[in-house]
Amino acid sequence: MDDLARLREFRRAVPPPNAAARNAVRAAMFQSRDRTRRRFHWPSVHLSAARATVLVAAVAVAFSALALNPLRGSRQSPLSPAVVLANAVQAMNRPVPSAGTARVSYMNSDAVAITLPQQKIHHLTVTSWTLRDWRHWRIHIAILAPDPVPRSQTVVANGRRAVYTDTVDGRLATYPINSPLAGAGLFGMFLGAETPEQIGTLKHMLRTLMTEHGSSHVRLVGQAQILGRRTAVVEISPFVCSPTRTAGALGTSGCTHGGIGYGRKRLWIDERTGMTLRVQGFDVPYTQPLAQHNFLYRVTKISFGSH
Amino acid sequence: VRNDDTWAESDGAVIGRSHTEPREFGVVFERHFDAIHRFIARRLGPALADDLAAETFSRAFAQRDRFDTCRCDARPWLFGIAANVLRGYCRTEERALRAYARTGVDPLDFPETDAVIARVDAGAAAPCLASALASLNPADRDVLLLLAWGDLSYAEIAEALNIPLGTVRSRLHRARGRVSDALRQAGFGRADARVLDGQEVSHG
Repeated sequence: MDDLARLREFRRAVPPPNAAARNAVRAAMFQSRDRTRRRFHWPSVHLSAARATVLVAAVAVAFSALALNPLRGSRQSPLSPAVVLANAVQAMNRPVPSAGTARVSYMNSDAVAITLPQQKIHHLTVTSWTLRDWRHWRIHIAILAPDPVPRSQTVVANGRRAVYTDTVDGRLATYPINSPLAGAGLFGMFLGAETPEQIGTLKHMLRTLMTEHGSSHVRLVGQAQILGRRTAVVEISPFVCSPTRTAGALGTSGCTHGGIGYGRKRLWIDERTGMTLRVQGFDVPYTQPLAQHNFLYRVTKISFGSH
Repeated sequence: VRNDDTWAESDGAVIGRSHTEPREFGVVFERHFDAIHRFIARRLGPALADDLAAETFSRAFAQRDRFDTCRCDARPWLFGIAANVLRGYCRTEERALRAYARTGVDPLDFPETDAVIARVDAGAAAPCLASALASLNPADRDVLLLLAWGDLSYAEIAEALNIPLGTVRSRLHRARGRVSDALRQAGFGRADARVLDGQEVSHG
């Protein structure tokens, strides 16, 4: 048996693709970018020399006007929000190995003292993570407020399940990871980037952008540097539409399917990796009566590469 | 006029037709998806294979105007795209191979029964092979695995990776030399091979 024959035997028993995944791939393939059909053909226009000169001059004037326009925003991004969000969702499917620390803070109304609307509780959590892929990661959560005694929790995803332990009450829980997406959901949930988890937020924004008219509700605010990385800042407003009107409503604008809009949310998305480095929420109610206000998730340290 | 015997048509003709009828690309998908998926699954495991095979075919579909429709077989082109897609996962592959070499257990997410069969198939040489594959540089490994697992000829590998035929030969020579050396050092050398071959002949 030579080296090639042995190699052919190595990992021979590979399971075939399952039919559902195969069909999904086939369907998705036709929705992918079809360059052939969109190929641009230059129109065959015959210009006289005089007309061509006028045309060139007009284009030059237009360019110079654009370049010298003092009202043009200096931080205007050349990207479209759809591209930024699509890249971010795509990146969530294939995470870049990374390690870092994030700080999560927000104010909650006290569920017990709900009759006292002014009473707010400040939540502060610092999370550290090491990510290899969606099935293999580790998160350490230090809860600094509101508990009087700081507590920490650890979650380790070992490929098949995520094991959660709490140092104070010794609680242990396991969560199955049946697919990379399930691992991504758990990672986002424990990291505290957002609730619902980060990937859900991104997809929600992308769906909003694609199904509603124009980009009036999801827009690219600009670009910013976070930890030396260039990020695109995307804002969605309103973030949720509710059938009932309560305090903090933004009105019906932006809710094309009815309802009243609430909350704004901004995401700072790393343009190279698609990772969300910062999330800021303003008056975003998720569940009543625990309304979440002024949510801030901020990555304070990050490094990429295998860990 | 559509030919009823679609499967007898060359890939080039089908891809050419898909420029105006995108759905026709489904024929190429049906012909080659399993082979591409299997190739990726052997290298990175079934968990990633679904995503990466999807990425390969999405890219192929988007770039089908680049395919030379005079060519009969789209496999080299598709394997070339798959190799490009896999390039971003070199380190993942190497880590998995090293872990296999160290522990004797394949860390890729194969279903339990298949994993057992795979271990029996590969025999005791598997960790040694894993170690040898991990030690190859990615370009040499690509060439070797396209030959062994993709079943491409030398010329097809050259086409897939867009490299000269001579380079394919030299990379293969280097890669196979390293694998053979590793097998020999672990006691699976030529003497062993002759004995095994003799047994096969005598039983046959």
